Amino acid sequence: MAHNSGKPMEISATICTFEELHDLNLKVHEIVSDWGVTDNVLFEVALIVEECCSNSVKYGALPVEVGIRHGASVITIIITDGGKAFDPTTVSTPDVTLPLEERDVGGLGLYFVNHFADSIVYSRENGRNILKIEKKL
Amino acid sequence: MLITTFLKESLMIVTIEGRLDSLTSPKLELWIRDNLASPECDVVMDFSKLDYISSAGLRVMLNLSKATVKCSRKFSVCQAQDHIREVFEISGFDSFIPLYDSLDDVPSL
Repeated sequence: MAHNSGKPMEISATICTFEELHDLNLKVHEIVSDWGVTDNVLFEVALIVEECCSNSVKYGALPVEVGIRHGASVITIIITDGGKAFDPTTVSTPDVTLPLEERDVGGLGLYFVNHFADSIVYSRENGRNILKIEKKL
Repeated sequence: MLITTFLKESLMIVTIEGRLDSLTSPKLELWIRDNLASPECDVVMDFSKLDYISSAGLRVMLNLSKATVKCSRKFSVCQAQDHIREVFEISGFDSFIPLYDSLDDVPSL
């Protein structure tokens, strides 16, 4: 685990605005690329974090706490927010085969999260939503 | 995010540089409202300098796609990086927004 000594193996952030989420996204890009992952993994981790957090920011479920940790064979993302109970794993998936005139982007963000994550576990503790997401390396 | 435009005959080339996320995408949406609400020519987005897109950016692409169809114009994307191309494919957006490898592949009128 401690192969990359000197480089941060964990990112923690508190997010309340889209500006802060944008800054975190840039930080994720900078730090996770130092972890020696592929460009695709880097992009997918950033996308998972943004799609999960942007809903919480949009609906004012603040503050959003984000932790991203580099393990031996997995990147673990933990996101918690203070909103009302919401389990994103139960949201129905959008029909991605609909033609243009019938399409809207509702649910697309969580669809990406489900697509790119290897596991997603939702729990509710002390009035907070907790999402534990794993991305295998 | 930086937006630059270039008119090549009857094709408007819009280059988006940087990131299309939940912060920057609304800015592109406003720019489109001011400049491309009723496109009078075909539009191609050059994504060669785009590093990142999320569902917020795809929302803008969907709205622009609908606006161009309404005006009987074509909308396409060119030079998207692999991971950006992938989200277009996963979301099925590539079924109504053609993705071209290079600007030269975009059909002219």
